[in-house]
Amino acid sequence: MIRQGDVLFIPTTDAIPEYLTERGKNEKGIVMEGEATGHHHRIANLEAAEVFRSGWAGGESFVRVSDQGVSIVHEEHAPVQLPAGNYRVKIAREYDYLANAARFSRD
Amino acid sequence: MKYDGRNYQELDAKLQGRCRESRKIGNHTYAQRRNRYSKEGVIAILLHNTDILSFYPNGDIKVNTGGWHTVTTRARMNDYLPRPYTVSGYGRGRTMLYNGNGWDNPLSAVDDSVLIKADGSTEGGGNALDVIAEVKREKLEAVRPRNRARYWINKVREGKPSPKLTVATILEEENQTVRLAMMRVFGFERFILDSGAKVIDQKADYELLELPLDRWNVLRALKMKCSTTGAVYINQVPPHCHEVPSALDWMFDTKDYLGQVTQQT
Repeated sequence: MIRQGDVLFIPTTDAIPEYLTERGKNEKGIVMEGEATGHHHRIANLEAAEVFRSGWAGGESFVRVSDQGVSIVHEEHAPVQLPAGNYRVKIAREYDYLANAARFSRD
Repeated sequence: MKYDGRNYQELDAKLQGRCRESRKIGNHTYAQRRNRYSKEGVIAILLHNTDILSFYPNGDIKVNTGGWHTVTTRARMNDYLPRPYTVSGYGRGRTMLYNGNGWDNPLSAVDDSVLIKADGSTEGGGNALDVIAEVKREKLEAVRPRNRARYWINKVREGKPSPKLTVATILEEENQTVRLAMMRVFGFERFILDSGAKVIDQKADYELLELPLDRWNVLRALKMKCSTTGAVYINQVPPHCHEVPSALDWMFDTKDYLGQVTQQT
């Protein structure tokens, strides 16, 4: 597993779901958008990897990395290297004591 | 079936003939003679099983709720009390006796019973001013936390900082919801770092912090230090996370985060 800030990349042997490969490709290679700061977690080389995201918060996200590998970059964190393979992306969640409920972290 | 007697003589005049001892004057309400064989000769207004009013031959009137501070009790009392006397509810479960000097100036509190003497003085009731102050205090106590919560939750929604807010002010706040809203306005990360939260577990670059919310509840947060930039991040975790590994597993919904992670920044 590889973590960059609030984003965790978990290697997986599962195939990426069809509904994501057909309609969920993120053309800009953004893995997670920074809603508050505008700083995104994104792939450095668009030719080396593909990002597939469902359009809703908490939905599934995957990264498919080609043989050459790719680095993920972010303004506040050092880059991390993803070797070739498929990765399931998980966003950290936090507990909101005021609302008494869990929610996904926001950058 | 309204009975128009408002003093002893009028009631005595109505209790004659076959209705000499008792006369129905309303739903579950009777005018009855008491102490038939004594000289006292009291006439009572009986509602169910309570003598709510007792008229004495000397002009005294005993007002008695019997603990039943209900609308019906007060309505019956007002029907048969001579003017200017009236009763009215005050706050929850309290009845006040007035003598026509305005609603702000009650004569006495009717705790259970109060005796109105013929000369207009009262005996046995509670202090009206104490009751007014108590009710006012109760109302304020009920309203204040709600107003404070509304104010600070609106601040959270607006997302504007409040320069006057300090860690000490937040810690002094007794209401948990208000305190949590104040923390959000102040900045949760800043508050956790400035308030001296207790470290309950530590592993690698992670610290699990705990802050008591009240006598029973605690707030827990994971403090993470970025290995490359040195920046500190605070992430709130639920109170059932007692150690760093369980907090990390909850955060990322994993089974063994620390054992499986190979690279982190």
